[in-house]
Amino acid sequence: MARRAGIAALLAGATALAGAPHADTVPSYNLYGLPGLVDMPDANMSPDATLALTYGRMGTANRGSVSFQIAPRLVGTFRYTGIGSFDHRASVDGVYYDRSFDVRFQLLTESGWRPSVVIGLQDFIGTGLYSAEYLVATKTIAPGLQVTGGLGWGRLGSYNGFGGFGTRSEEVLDDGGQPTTDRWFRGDIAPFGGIAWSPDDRLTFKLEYSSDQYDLERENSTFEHNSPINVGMDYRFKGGSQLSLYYAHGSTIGAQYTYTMNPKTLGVPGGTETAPLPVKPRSAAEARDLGWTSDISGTEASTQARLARSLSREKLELEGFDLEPNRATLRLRNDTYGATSQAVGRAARAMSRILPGSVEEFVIVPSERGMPASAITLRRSDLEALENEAAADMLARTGFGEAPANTPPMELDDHPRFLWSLAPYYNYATFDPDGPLRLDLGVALRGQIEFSPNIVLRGSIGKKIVGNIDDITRESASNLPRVRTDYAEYAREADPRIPRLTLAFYGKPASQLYSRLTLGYLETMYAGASAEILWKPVGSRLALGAELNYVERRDFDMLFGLQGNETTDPVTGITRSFPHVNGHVSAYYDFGNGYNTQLDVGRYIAGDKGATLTVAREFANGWRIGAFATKTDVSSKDFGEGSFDKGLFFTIPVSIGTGKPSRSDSTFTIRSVQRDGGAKLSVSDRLYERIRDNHEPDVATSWGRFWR
Amino acid sequence: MSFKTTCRVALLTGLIAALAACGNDDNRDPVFETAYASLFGKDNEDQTPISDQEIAETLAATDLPVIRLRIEARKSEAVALEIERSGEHRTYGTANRQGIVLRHGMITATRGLGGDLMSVEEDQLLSLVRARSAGQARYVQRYLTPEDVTEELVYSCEIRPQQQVEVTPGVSGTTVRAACSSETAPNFADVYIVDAGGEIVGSRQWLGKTTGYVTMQQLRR
Repeated sequence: MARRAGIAALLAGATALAGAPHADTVPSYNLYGLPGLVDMPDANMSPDATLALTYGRMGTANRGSVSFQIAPRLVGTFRYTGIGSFDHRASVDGVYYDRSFDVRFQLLTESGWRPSVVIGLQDFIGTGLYSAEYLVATKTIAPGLQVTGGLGWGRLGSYNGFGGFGTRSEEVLDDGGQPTTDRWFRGDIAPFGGIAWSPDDRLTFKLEYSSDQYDLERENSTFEHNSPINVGMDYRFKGGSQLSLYYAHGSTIGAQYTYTMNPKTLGVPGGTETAPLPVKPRSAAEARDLGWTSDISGTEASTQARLARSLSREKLELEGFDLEPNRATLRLRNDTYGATSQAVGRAARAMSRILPGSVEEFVIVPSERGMPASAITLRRSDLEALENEAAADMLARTGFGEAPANTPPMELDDHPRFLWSLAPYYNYATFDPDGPLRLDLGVALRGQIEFSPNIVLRGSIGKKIVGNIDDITRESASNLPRVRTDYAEYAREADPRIPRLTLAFYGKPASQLYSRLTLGYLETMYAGASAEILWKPVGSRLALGAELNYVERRDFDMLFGLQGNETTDPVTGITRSFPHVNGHVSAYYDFGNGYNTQLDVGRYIAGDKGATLTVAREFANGWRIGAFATKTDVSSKDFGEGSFDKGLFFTIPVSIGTGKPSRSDSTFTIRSVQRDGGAKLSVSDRLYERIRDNHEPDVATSWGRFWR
Repeated sequence: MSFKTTCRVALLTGLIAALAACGNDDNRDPVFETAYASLFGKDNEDQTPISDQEIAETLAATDLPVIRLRIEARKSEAVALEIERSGEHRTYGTANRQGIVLRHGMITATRGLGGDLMSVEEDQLLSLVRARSAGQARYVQRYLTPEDVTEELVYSCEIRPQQQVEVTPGVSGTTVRAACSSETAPNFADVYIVDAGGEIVGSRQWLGKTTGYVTMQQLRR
């Protein structure tokens, strides 16, 4: 006891020096879901990669938004609005629903005497309800005190404006979806501005002069605009979320909640999984000893068994093994670690503890669904020397190559393998004007039979317990075969349902080539066959692929029946058919700085031909946030609302929530409208994301996890 | 909410709880997985301090070197046994499979604590501390960020030997204080107790924002 008290007392004298790092702070968000005052924008930018969700109500308008700081100087926003008692032909029960996109770019950053200057396009691709452009400057003139001033066009030029360039249409378009370039920076210009004062970290008070007099709302709704002066107050909670209260236009109060997160800072740094084994260093004599090679096959068998056991303690799997006097090749299956570097690092340390001393070269071949995806070569003496050094030192001495032709074959002793789970599931449907967010919750029984790692039968059956997706009653006419717009029929009739039931074959037909063939009930609406091939060299940032599908429409009950590729429109009664074959060729390019792009060109389900461009911001930990747009030979008019298919997606890795390593993630896709043009088959397990995980650019990005 | 809906919600809540670990496939949905973690996941870290008797038992049960570790902010304590030696580095492991690496008693890495110290550049700091000399040293700590990117924090440390203390009856050591500052990270001050042979026998060391200060004591070397 004396000893313990002694040490504790001796050390208790130590005191930390004061000093806090400059944490990046998230600015205050306005009613449009972007950094700003009350309704007006300011020139603040959030820290890179900030994802902000806002929900606000002012007067009769409800606005929900998601904003993403795409790059340090670029932010994009998607907004969903419902304006009550709004007289418009598209209103539902008096509520007018509208979706809009904004972008903002920071022209100048703040420094010295210079303010931050931002240019913004508001509702630049939609119906034009919120259409506006602005140039705005913000300067911090004292700690906690900011002054903002700007010039607005469109909505933001509607109050006390002066003549600008050209004229501007004020019409709210029916279909939206087209960039309204003919309006940008046209028509009257009006000044706006304001101040924001934050006496402490929690509170911000805002006062603004608004240049938006809400013409559309005054004409079509019960909106009163009595004053250009708006005031607001934000309270910032400890977790970073904000609650804002407003009094605006001399007539109405408003409130808003803002939740921000950041893929770069959310989660436990480095994770909470248990420690890896340490490297076991060899003595010089051990490294020279080749005595064991007199019984190489016996040693190989016993070593392999020990290594397999050791790997299974790390939740890794030995899928194949080959031992030579100076080299060992491990075919490694990783279903656990989101970062391949971590799987390889743990396997290498297990190898250092088990393999005979003369084995100097470790070749680890990550096997993805039985496809040898690369060969990562490590020198054992480097592992011994660099375990306590910067991870970059080890990366510099690690070799990446194509999986060798003589990759050890798969060990199939414990196959076929049966996996199952019974777990809750959810489904969601967005932006139906009768219920903007619909949700189903239920239970899903999932099963998988792995005949070998590359031949897998898997499926699931779900039973809804509670939900309202099947309440969708809206029917809208389509000028195309109803390849997607019958989703409400499926929602109504499919319970219980089999979302997918497939037999998949994965292969590696040649070096740098990977293949997939999937047969069965490929997705919720289509059954058939899907074949895919991918070319992806290990060190390359470019990949090329092709997918060819033969499909038939499934019955609305989502069980085993098919209904042929003919659809009848419930509104017009017109019957249309669509081809069985669709598919596309794809090019993928990883820019290496966290941006990835994909271009698909081909024929879509309805038989329309065109291209999809997908751009994503990716993070080493597995987050992906991106947007896609598809333009096909279907005219905007025939496409209907939205003019063309487009949307946003958010892929969130499971490890963020649990702190434990995982390869699972979940993707949420928000489409502004689901129509029939530009519809792609949604097959699971497309090759690119799986294969690239094991290739040099991706492995190097999260290499810090090698020693974790 | 109607009675029927209420019943269904209750049923679902029950199911979510009951199904948390149903099946032999652990690839699950992140949303529910996160919900489980926040609802049912408990920090299984041992919060109770370790008694002298437990320490005596640990020491009696093994001949291996033993350290004792205490994470101040979490009020958690553990003993760890030496499991590997590599050059001047010694790796210690706890019963919960957490790892601590020491070099002459200075913690140079941790694994499994969450927010782990991945590696350090400690040569200058360690040599001044071991020599119990005053001076300036450059010191680098590396951590993974939640994004899985390595973050390198560069510190400038002011090392000052302080008073002589009696570590155990008959064994004396010198306390050495290292006050470290950085432009990009919080400042901290480590304290080391160094024996006559230049080995750090006890310390209070800063292991980053997530872990905070850790006290370490070498119980048997």
